[in-house]
Amino acid sequence: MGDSAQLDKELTAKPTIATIEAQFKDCADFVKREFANGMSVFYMVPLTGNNNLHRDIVQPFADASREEAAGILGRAPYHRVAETGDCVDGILTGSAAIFLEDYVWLVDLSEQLGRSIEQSETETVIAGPHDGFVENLFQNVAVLRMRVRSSKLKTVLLSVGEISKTQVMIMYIDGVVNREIVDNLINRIKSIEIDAVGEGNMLVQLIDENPNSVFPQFMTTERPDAAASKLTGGKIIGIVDGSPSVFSCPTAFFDFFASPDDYYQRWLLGTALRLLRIIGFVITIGFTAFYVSVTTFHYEMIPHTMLLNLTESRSKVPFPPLYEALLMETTIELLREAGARLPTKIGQTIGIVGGIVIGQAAVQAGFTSNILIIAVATSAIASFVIPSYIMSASLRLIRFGLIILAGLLGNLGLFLGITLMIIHLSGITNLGASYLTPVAPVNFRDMLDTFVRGPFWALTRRPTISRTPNSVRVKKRI
Amino acid sequence: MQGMTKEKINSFHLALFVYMCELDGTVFSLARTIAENVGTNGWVAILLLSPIALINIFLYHILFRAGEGRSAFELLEGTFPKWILSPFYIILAAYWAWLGAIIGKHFLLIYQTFAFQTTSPTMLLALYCLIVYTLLIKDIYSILKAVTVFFILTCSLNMLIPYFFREWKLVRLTSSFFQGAENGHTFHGWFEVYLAFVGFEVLLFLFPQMDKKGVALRGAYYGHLMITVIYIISVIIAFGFFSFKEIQSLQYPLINTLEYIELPFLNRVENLIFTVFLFANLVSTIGYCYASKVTLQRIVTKAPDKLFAILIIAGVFVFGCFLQILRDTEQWLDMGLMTEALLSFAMPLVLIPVALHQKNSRKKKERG
Amino acid sequence: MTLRKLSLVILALALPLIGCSDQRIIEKLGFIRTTAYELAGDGEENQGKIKVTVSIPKTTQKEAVQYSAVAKTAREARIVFDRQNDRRLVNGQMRQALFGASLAREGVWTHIDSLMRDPSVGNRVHFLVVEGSAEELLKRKYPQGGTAGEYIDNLIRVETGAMNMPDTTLYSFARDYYDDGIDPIAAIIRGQPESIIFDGIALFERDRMTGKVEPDDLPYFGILYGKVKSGDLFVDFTGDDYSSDVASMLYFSSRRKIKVRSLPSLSRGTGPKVTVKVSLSGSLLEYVGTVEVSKRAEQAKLEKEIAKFVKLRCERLIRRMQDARADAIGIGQYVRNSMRYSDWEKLDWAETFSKAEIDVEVGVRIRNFGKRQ
Repeated sequence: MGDSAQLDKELTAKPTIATIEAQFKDCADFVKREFANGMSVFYMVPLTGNNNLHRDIVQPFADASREEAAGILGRAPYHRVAETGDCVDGILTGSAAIFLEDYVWLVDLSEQLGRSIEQSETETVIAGPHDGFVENLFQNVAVLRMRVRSSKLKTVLLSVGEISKTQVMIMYIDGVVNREIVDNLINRIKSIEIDAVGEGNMLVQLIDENPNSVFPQFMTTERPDAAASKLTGGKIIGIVDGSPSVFSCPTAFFDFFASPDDYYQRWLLGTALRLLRIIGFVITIGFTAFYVSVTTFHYEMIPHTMLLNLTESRSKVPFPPLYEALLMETTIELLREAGARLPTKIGQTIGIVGGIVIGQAAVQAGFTSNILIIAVATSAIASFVIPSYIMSASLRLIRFGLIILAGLLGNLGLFLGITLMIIHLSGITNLGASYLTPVAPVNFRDMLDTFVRGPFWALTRRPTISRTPNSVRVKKRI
Repeated sequence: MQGMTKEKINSFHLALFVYMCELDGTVFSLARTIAENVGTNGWVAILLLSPIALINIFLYHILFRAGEGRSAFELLEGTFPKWILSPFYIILAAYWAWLGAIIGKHFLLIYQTFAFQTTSPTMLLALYCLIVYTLLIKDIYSILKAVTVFFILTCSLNMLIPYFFREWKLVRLTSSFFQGAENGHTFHGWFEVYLAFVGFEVLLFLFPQMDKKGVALRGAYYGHLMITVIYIISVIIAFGFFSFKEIQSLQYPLINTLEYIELPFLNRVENLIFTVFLFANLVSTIGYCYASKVTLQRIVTKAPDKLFAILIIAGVFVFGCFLQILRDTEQWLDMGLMTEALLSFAMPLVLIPVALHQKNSRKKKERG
Repeated sequence: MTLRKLSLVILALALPLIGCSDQRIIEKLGFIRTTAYELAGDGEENQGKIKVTVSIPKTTQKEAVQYSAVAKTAREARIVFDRQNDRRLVNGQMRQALFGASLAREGVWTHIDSLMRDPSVGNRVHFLVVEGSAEELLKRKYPQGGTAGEYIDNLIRVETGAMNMPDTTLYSFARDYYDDGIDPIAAIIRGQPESIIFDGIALFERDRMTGKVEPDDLPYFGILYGKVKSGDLFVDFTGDDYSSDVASMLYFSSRRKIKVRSLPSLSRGTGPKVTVKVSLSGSLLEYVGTVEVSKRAEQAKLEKEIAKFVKLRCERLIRRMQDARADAIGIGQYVRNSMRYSDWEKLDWAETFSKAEIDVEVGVRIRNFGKRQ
């Protein structure tokens, strides 16, 4: 304790070689180089590039005399720092600290690490841009700046995590965004008290208003085109260093059902896709539960032509429909999880083995009825129609709750579950905006870009959820 | 809750709220109630009775103007001392919790004639109470948001209307009006039909959340007109789908009409659709529970919000447990709603003079 | 917060206790497809009793289990069946209620009433009258394959579709039973050694069967009953009044209008005068006779001849209904709607109907004559 307090006090003091060396004690990757002219240079080897080192340190100073060196240091890109803290931070972000006489200079030698820009694995589109965000913060900012070439695109750099000091960049378009929401968001991020933040999806859980909710409250995307369209829609974008998941806010529930490629197709097609996803949503949460409800309690509802087939296939099954359904749903979740963990090639095999072989065998062994297999498989497929992976995972979890309720109380249970879900959803807010916008509070103009994808001539306004001071997106020519 | 404080109830949401509050278990038997008490072509009675409710809403509008948007409690407490009001508040709060309980229990008991006959009604009531509780602890804006979604789900049932066109015949409506009422035309009978409209008076407790000009109140009229139209449609469908005397013999004609629907992939849709009315009854219960909560909060101002909710839900549960027989419940429901209908007129009639009196005395003060 | 969690835990623990007793898991149920009601037969012990037969299809769909019992009501018989069946019997998938013709003549309302009271029974159950033994009809095996219940289901669907007959269901029966301006009807089926045949329509006065529409009168009944969208009419001209022998009008559609020309009078005891206006149009696809159908003038003549024939048949049919005191086509509804309600209430419509003067006006238009001129 005493030591760390001591170190903290030193951070505001003038940097000296001794304090820097003390800070980086026991760091094998920390290097000190001394020059003939009395210069000492400190840097972290893994964070600096060899070429940069050669260009900015070795070449200018190798043969320079003390005066010459001082002259070079007075010019760019070298800059003076006065506090130990800045000096340490600089070294940690890939700069070299140069000690000459009593002064300290920093020069950025950092090299971009990480993969190059490639297609996002979780959000793919067929038509549309194929670049995705990567782990490097500034690369991501650059990608966005390339898409929105405006000086109005403002950025705020924040740092989260006592230890990790993860950089978080908040981006918004001035004049389009609601400043109150920006301040709110910044305050919330600043008030996070945690040792480390690793991922965008993790950060948003620390700042949302309903931490116990199943539903994700911040939309995250790995697609720059989606993020750029959110920006121009008056929303705020947040990028976390080290994470390709970029969050946008304020977010509504139905945002998770929109995909950027809805806008790249003709509007009728985009509309059809949106409606398909809503159907997918209903099937995902309700289909298996409905099967359980009907086969357990409401046999009258089955058309008589289907009834006998269903009875036949159920007759060999030793458990009640509730257990049957839970069993199969768990199996398919196992398959999905196994497929996600394994390398792509094996993952596909798992899908085939699991889906076809287990499914077929389970029916033949009288373990489940084939109609249940259809229900389970359909709702699993339907869940993948939802573009947001996180939302689709949440919905799959809710499905289990509904299945249990349906198994206990039939349609009444199903509706009790749905009611609870609606009540829960209506209580969620995201940065003060209702999560159920535009359904509640109702906004018909926004619905035009929610359940359907309206033609561009109709989408003249920014979504109300961003509470933008400048709501006109398209100026109509008169 | 930043940003939420500025939110105001707008007329659209008030309209939906009024609609959903008016829609409750009475709609199942509405066609029969009308056939029994009004007679042939009884749907006209809805047209005649609806303006009475409109006048009632108008009274609330006047009250809002006179009281300049202040809540009923503020008005009362401005004139009467609190110790006089407190017992009065307690009675009202208990009454509303009781009414909410009856509405919920009535629905559950009807449900149990169709499914889950042997399931413990107390258990179902407990579940119902749980749901009411989860909604009651939320702020009024969240409640209204939930109501909006419930409305959308309930209202989409109207898409089934075209299904009945094939079997619907104008000739069954008969050409006579208001004939064949079982006990002749009585005030009680017509009053019973009017009960379908009871529920909108809860808007009195939303006054503080409305804009100062009371523009939102316009929504109440729209909501009421909407429910009037829906009632008329449902009754006309029943009257042309069944024969007049058959309606008198059917306990819940609406459910019998739904029974007729047969989709290629689904039969006997009433099992599913009847459950959708859970939403409508839930909202009615919530409306009264909310009124009850707001009233109680007036007596003990410093207790946490959840305590009141728990108290009221406990009340709803206990009241609901006493009702086990459908026939009794219907009688209680009729009685409760009749009292409520009278109360709904009485409240603004009492409050308007109070509000005007306060307004005048304030003006006098201002003048000198 | 803790209280809420506690209550949730309690509820979660209690949840599995509910609902179990009301479970109706499909493979554990025996679905009654058909219930047949017949008179129990003569004999002292059978006084006031009925014979109830139920047919429960097996999951193989090829066979069905039948049970029969003599009891006072169907419910009482169900107790006997329940004691025999290995699965729990349920009514929710009932598709047909068959009534023996002799029972139908005595009145069926008590049985219909208890069927409709049962919340699990839908109102779309077919209501049919069986000539001959209903029990045997259900027990017999048919070369058409499938169970008798399924056979009847399909037969009714096809027949009512072709004849444009309304489905006679519990709903339509109860509706017309309560309506004092119309009397209910029901389709009649009869068992034959190798098949089941659709054998006309039973006419009811209130809930008692009092008459029958013969199968060859069915198109005319359809025309009188209401709108026909697509029917087939085979006209077999008999007698010297006609210049044609045979004509077939296919895909005909018809509309019906009922005009009340004069109201019944209680004081004078006269029945009402009613005109049923019927307009038909269809394709003439078969013709044998002397009319030259290729000529325009002759075509009009043919239309008149068909109209005349249809009129005669319709009027004959109406007289039959009047004899049965069964207003199956709902003339009473129109008479009622043109009277004062109190006057109508005083009227005994069945009696008045049997005395009513009803004539039929028919207009026929031939849409086309097929591929030949």
